[in-house]
Amino acid sequence: MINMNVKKILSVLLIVTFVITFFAGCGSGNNKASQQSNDNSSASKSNEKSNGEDKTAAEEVYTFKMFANFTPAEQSEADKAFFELVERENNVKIDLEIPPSTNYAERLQIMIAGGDYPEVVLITNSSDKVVLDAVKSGVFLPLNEYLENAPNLKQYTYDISWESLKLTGDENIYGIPRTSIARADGYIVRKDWLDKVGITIPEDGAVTKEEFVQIVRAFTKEDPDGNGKDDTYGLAASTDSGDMGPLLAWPFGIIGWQKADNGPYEYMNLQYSREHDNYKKALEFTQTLWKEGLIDPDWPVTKRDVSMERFKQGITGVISEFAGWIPQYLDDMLPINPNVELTYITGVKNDDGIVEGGSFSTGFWGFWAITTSAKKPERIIQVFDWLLSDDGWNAANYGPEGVTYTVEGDKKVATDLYQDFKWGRAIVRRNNDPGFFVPLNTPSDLQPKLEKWIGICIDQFVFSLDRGYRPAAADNPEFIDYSQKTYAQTISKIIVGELPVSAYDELLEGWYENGGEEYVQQMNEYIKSMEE
Amino acid sequence: MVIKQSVKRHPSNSSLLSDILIYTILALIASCMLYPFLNVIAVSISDYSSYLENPTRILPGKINLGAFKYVFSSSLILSSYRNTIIITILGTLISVIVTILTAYPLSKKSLKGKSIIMNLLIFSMMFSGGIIPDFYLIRSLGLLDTLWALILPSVISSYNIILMKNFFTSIPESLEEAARIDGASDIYILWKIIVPLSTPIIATISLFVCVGYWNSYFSAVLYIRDQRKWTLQLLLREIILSANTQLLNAGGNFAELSSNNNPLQTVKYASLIVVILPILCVYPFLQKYFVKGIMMGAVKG
Repeated sequence: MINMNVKKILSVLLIVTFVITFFAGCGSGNNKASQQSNDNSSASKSNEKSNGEDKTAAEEVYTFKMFANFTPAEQSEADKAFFELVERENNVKIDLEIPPSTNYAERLQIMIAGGDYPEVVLITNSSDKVVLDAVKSGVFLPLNEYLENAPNLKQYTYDISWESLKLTGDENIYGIPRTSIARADGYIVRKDWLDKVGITIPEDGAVTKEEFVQIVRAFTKEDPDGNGKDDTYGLAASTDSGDMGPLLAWPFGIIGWQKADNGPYEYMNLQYSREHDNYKKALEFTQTLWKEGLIDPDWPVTKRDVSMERFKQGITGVISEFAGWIPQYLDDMLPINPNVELTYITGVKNDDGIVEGGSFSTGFWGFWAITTSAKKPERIIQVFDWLLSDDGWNAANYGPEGVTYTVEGDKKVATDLYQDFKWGRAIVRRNNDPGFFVPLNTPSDLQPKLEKWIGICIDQFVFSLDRGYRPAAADNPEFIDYSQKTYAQTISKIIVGELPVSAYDELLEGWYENGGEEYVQQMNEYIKSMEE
Repeated sequence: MVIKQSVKRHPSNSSLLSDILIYTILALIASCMLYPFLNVIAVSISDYSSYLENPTRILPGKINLGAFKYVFSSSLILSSYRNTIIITILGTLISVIVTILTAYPLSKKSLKGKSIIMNLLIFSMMFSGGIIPDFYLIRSLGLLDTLWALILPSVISSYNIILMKNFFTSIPESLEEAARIDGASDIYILWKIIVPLSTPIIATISLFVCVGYWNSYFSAVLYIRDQRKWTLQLLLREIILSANTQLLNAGGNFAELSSNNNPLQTVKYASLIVVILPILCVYPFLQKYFVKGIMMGAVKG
């Protein structure tokens, strides 16, 4: 009897202990956050005082931590020299914390939950829910007041990038964009194969849909590598998730969120429009190519890096790719086959005879957020601003002079260390310098061609108006479930021919019923508010 | 006197046929397992262009040891090797000692509160707090960014304790009673009598724990900040998978996906070989103990 009572008391005690520790765990997290914001408000007060004494403050070395997913994991000599240069020129000390890039998302989450924030954090995905929640709970500082003193940042960044960083729906900008060049990429094509099957592409690299199919068909059926075997395919394709989608969408007008010409909504992404059949045409196009066997049959199980390899091996002849990487492809392909020549299709024309497209709507590839741990955010902004000034841009683009390149006459010549200069190039970029993406050691005969092609791709780019916005409807579990499972799988089935293209009508209706209606409505509200 | 007469049994046709069938199937399975291994070795000592020419090769193409040179020149490989060896040795030692010390009292029927502790142990097998509470715990203990954070959390495995406890229960009490009559203390009984009798289970558990520590990488992801404290598996995962992660991070923006940023396939394979080599040397000899250990757990448990 006594034992039973003892057991009961012990079990009750245990339960109570569990419950207390449960709440204690939650509580301390909140306390940390409010403590940080208290620190922040007192820090910003002292900031206002010290702004007047900027000159003397700048003389002190300011140390801050930078948290980023730079690859490769090991810092090269070139990057070390670069950071030393940055530190010298800006009188700062940068402590780099580089977690393994393969687990960056988890580390970001832990960092945010842990409450011990590094001063500068690289955020890779501006639509990530974890990030948006962190912004709302005040982990990151709004940077508007500091950006006033950052002329280079303002000059060399797309306006739409700043708008995309107004993450709380008000005027507060929560980060410094890592600008990428907004462009609509085309395709690298085997020129030696084109010669063999007797096709030429126009000077500006723009082809019609019919010409594109002609090329891809000839590459599959007419033995373009001349080895007597039927072992080549026209179009390279890959998927990370195992799901397939239309390989050519831009020529059918699927260019993200734009002003609608009809229908109930002011802005529409034609993929989701019930009034337009553009997306169905895109599906049909890819479905036809697949049925005829003109696409790499390994598509459903091939990831991007493998599909690049397959192109380099000569299994496929057309691959969607950025023109600036042509020299790298040649470097890998020429040792196996010295006859390889590459050229570029800048795009496929739509029904109006124009090439237009766009693959990302924010203008940036990740952004730098400054957390509440930063005692002197203005010093940090200064560093980023310097990187876009003429001196800083030289270093960020090419590396430290004398280390990664030397100047011979009026040309820059890459040294052996140039190719190891990676981290420095992943911080900030100028939006008007496509030369950034053309490596310094590109052969001189290729350089003008690459710049021309990249220039065309930049000109034909159209910004999608969504600015990377994630409507609240996207968090609806039914919506997520439908988009990731039913929608994605049905599209794949349509493409391989298991279902007819007309099945898309029913699929789209289902999408609207499962949260799509709210999604479109909220997106419209957002775009309307931004376009004003 | 027993005369052993060896009778030569001629195998009948049907058993010969089944032998051939079995050996063929085994050979096929073995070659399926052997092929990727040979492929990795061959590619790691070939030139990258030989790899592109024929990625499925078993025989190396143009020999180029550059990949191995690159791997060994990386200071991260050496430091992570050292870290993993330290963690494995220390972790196994501590874990085995703690497991013995926990399991022995639990194997005695006379221990008061034994069933409560056993229930707690089993309960903890089913639930875990999750990553964030674990992180808070390690941080509040001051273990963040130390190798101890990689060793201590997995020192106690409820499963191993139960295994060991069951084994101890099977040792006859009369042995202990005899030792006690002779004046032995509990500690003496444990270390001089029980442990030598339990070498099979201790060896098995050491093996399991050892392999567990060698393979662990996620704790390093959570708790380690300093690159020089990375473990081998974490580094290997980073080398092999960075291409895929970059792809996801690029978000469809090809300009941010330079193929030069990723280690070449030859370097990836060379890293694989470097990491796997110690296990390869040790495992074939210890394999039978593994099997014995699993059987032991199954029968006694």
